[in-house]
Amino acid sequence: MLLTANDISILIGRIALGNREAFTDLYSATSPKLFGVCLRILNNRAEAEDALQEVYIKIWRDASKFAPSDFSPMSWLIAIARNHAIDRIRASKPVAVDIDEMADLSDEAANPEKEAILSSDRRGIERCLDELPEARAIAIRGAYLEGYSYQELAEQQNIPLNTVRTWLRRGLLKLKECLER
Amino acid sequence: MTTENDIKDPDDVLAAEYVLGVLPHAERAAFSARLSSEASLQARVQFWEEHFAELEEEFEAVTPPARLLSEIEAEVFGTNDSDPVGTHGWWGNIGFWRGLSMASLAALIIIAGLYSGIINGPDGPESIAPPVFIAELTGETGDVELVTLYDARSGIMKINRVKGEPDSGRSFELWLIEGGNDPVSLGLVPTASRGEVTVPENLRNKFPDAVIAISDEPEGGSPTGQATGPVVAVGRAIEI
Repeated sequence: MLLTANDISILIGRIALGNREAFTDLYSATSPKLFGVCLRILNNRAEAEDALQEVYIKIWRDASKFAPSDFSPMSWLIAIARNHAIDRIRASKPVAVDIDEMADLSDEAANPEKEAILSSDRRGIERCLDELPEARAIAIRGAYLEGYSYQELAEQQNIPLNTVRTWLRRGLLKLKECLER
Repeated sequence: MTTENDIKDPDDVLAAEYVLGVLPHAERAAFSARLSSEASLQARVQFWEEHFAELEEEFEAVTPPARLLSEIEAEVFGTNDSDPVGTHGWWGNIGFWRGLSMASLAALIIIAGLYSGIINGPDGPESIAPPVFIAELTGETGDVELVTLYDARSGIMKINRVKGEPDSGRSFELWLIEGGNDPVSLGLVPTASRGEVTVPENLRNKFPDAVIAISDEPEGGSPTGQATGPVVAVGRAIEI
């Protein structure tokens, strides 16, 4: 079933009024995407099934909190699923070591040539990620799409755990600067 | 050297880390707790969520096993027969209706009407909820639009100013018009785009068949007790 954003908003509105049929319709239309989100982040089918179940229970309860003007309804639903999946992995795999935020780190050089080639017709976040040093863009994208923790990013990027946060934060600050341009 | 001191706005980068999901569990939980009460934090989170939402296309859809839906329905409908229309439901949450466009509002009114038809069905209406009235106020020029939602139980009317505001030095005043009677003031429309007024006791039984109107008055409201300025928006209260 392919629904427009407006159809989904109306379904959420009907769910807020306690309409069960609307809930079933919303589930049919949106559960593959939300299941995809849970699977990608949790990387485990049984966990993803449990998470999806919890996500739809949350949607049923929180439908009244949806404000149509703020957000596309699909993004709202995806954010609920993503947040829930991330809550689950963070709760199940607590970080053993404190992450130091104060470490020094020299910056990789930006790549102006690449910026010039890629910046023209790409949209906001993609364009701005391309302006970052590549390793940081990969880390940010990985964190968003795969739900990587600081610990996992440190291992992948071969950066000490106590400096990875400073390293990523610097990337986030640059990203913001670019997004606001 | 980058230190915390170089970060002009620690909450902003924290919001980015939260949306991205990299915060360790305890910090994530602490941020989440702050988020429910701090509007400035909500705005920062929204900034990042909206931008990162562009990446969501990369999540591939995967059809979940068919049995999940019935499990979810059993959980949602089976054990939870309390209705979301209640103290914590859509009525209680202004976030839901503050952004409604007039078109979706119209759909909502129809749905709400059908719904109240269902809940006020054979078992009688008195067991469920006291009446709630919604009114969509519009003017001829389309410059001013408001939605009001009146809960007869609490006597509170919530007002959502969708469009238009009074000129400086003027106020919008809210009126209840019952049948052919003179309008009775319900007070000033709050200056914020969302607000509420308490309907005086003696007017609370006037809602069936009432018309709600907004007039443009001198600052502070009509000096005479009757509308003096032009009516800028009007609409009928519909029981839902």
